Amino acid sequence: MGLAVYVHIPFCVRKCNYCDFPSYPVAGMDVDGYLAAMGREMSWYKGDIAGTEVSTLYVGGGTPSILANGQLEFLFEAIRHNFTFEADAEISLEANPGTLDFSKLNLLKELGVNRLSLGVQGLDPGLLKRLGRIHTPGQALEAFDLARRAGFTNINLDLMHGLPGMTEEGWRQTLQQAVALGPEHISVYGLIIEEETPFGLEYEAGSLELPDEEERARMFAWSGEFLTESGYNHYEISNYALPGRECRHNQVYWRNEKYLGFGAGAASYRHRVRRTNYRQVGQYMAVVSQGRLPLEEKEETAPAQEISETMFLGLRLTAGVQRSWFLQRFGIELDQVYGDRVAALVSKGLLLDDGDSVRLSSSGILLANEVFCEFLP
Amino acid sequence: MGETSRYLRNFCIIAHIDHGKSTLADRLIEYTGALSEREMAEQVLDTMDLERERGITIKLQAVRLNYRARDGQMYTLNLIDTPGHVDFTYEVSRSLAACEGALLVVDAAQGIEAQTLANVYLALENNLEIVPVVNKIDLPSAEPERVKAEIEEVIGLDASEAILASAKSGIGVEEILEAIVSKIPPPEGNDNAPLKALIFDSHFDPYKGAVSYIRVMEGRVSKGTKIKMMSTGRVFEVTEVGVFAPAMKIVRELKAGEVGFVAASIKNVKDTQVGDTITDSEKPALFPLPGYRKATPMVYCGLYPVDTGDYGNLRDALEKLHLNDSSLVFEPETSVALGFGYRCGFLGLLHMEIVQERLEREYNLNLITTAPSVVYKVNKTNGETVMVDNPSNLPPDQEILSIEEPNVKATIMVPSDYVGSIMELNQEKRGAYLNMEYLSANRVMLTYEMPLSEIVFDYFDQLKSRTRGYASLDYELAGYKEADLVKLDIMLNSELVDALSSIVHRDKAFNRGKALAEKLKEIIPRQMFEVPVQATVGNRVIARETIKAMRKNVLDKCYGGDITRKRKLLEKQKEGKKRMKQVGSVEIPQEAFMAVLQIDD
Repeated sequence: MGLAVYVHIPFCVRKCNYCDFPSYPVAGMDVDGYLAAMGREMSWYKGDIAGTEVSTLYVGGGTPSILANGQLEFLFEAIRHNFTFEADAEISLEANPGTLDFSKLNLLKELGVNRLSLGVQGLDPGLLKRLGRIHTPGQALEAFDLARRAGFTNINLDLMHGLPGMTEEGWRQTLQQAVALGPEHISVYGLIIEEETPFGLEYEAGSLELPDEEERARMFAWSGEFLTESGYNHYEISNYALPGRECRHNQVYWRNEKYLGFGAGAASYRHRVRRTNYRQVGQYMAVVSQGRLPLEEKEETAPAQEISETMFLGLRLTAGVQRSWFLQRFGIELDQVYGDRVAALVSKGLLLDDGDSVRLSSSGILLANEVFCEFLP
Repeated sequence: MGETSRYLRNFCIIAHIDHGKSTLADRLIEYTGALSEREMAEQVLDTMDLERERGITIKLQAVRLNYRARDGQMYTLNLIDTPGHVDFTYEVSRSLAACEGALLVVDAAQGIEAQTLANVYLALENNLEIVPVVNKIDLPSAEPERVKAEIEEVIGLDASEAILASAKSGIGVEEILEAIVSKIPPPEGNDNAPLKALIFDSHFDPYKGAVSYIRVMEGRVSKGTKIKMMSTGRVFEVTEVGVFAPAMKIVRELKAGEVGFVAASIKNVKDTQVGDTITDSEKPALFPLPGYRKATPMVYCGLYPVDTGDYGNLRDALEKLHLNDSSLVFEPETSVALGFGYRCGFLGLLHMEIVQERLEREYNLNLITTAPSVVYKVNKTNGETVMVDNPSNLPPDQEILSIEEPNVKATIMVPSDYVGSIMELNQEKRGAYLNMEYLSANRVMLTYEMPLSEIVFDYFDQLKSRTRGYASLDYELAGYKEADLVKLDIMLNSELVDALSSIVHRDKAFNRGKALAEKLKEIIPRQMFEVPVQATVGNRVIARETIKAMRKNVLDKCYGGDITRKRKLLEKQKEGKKRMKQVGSVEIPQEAFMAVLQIDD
């Protein structure tokens, strides 16, 4: 098994109203310095991973496509300097409409990016504005078209429902328009209100008009039906792909396998230890420049916790958790650990159990957190 | 009279909450130098955290002060603190029995309040000398002359020599001390007579055993005295005698008239019953002192651990609390919905809240409290009479001939502008008007007879909110009266939840049932299935609400590799579930069991 590597670019043109990820408006940031620091951080793992090739690379953000062409070249040079890739490695990059042009797309293709994830989020001009996105629906469609012309044959579109002011009809139109473009992959996320974001503050003040729980449930459920009908495989709670186009990198997370993350706020999981880098860019850079690992948090996962996490992550995949795979990984039968809980959830209609694997039922998907809680240690 | 007791005074302070009793006590302690300034924390006597937070006195305390009076003599003054809230009248009567006099502290702006009046009457019954003090005279709104007139009119005391004081700024403190010396008589009692000491309180000390707070009436007691508890006849050898300075300080002996403590390696607090008389087993007194009426719990509720494994811890905690609070009673009970717990009796709602808070805070217990109930007298068709303190124990309808409920005589003092709203409130609460008396041109005393159960619910809050906090309330039990009462049950998902049953007046059953169902719908979170909430009387459904099924609870957001965060979100959710009680198939939050207290009629 090869390596899964994540690289975080914490810069955006501006922060969206719902975002609580580690990202910062790019103006005035020392982007070059940041990329150099990341290069340095990567170099410290060279010895450790020698002999292992990278099978998936995910460049996420923030907005990786905000980087100038020269900065992108520098970044990929640094990556290739420290890692070797499998021949068919999946190399994804997140890009936002409004930060892409044809030359940048051509460069990305040249640099080896073979999967593009477009942060479209919506196709209703009013809602995009409300989210604080910098692009218009027209720019989103144009970006998709340019990417196709630049030769990208594996494109994901990120879309959000449950937005303030969104109607069910509005959401249906958006999703239909997106499917009409024919992307290989679609991620559908429900808006989550996070504290300390502009939306969070509005929510607390009581001025955020969100669709109610019934409507949000229907938006979620309809998405599943429509995309499945349209030929997409609903392979994870929020993710849909044409057959064979499932994102390999993200499946590493859901299978609770190891991965290496670089950059501010990036998480790693190796040798049963979860580590998170400093989320503050300045702090991250300062610590790296002192020659120290930029670790903000470190947590060893006890065996019971690893099993628990493997269950609640694995159940996010619609294929569920296979008993034989579980036995092979942990050396213990799944039923020995969770037999009674699985049975109880099956009887509530939330899990399906065909004897071979355990997976969420269609009503279980909508109440997945209720199910996952049962698998906490 | 012994030589020492001529220079001894035992007194207490009677005051309404907020009228400055604790501040005055602090000033007296400060003035007489019982504590160095360093030791003076604000409000010395209120030692429990809860007392300080709420600004009230719950437990009584005693402190000994030394004061050199203007006559040049050194006097020993024992101040015995009294609680000010209506729930604790019983504790007040205990401190009164140990004193010869009382300071009556009245706020110069507010005037006499109902509770103060009740306590003054209690003091007069005990033949205490009352020294009126008008406090807070430096407030801009102070009207000392009006308040003095009120003292004369309402209580019938001569207020011409009332001391004008401000405990806060120290005005009048010396005058108060002089008045204690000159007006309150020294204790009587013969040092050489057989020992008679009244136990007015006790607490449990892990090293000394049960410590009795005593007032020696006759004779003397010292280390080595073999004391006998007159009610049980049990004998213990005294290991320590002492006084409250205000910290416990060992002395050689306590003599007639003195106030202090005795420890005698008593393992069980039941052996130092408050109100009992201690005598000397080798030279016993013939008759005990008159005790005082035992505290009768007025309000009962069930206390259940959320985690059934905590049952033993709850029992231990209740037993420990009982050591210092003999008015708390409890016995095991079971509920279909909540499992094993305790039925606990309290002096009133405040007492109940305080006990509940102490259990949660000091003993770290996670508890479910069921709605409070009074004790009903049920006359059965077979001629039997049973007392019911838990609505779910009400006999079946066909066995009931009649139900009687406890009534109280309630005294409310209020500015006359609010008489209308009080009358309206009392009518809603099934009160029967008895009397109205003008205390002064604009203050009125209203007397009503009303069911205790109505007072137990939100009466006090309503009273305060409808009179902008100006009304004060006192009540005393006034016997049982028959009423048309029914049991209101709650069914969740078609299952009866016994812990949510209540006994209500038939005329109010419909409104209360409807309000309760609505409230429960609000409090109980959505479950994975639809949950009907029904309020029933007999077999008749009088109200129905539906808690819709939970439709969506899924983290459909991209968190990438931040799995720790995902897990923390789930853990938080699971933690929330832990605070719920699974009843049948429904998960109910703790506060639902108190919902009946949160509804307006």
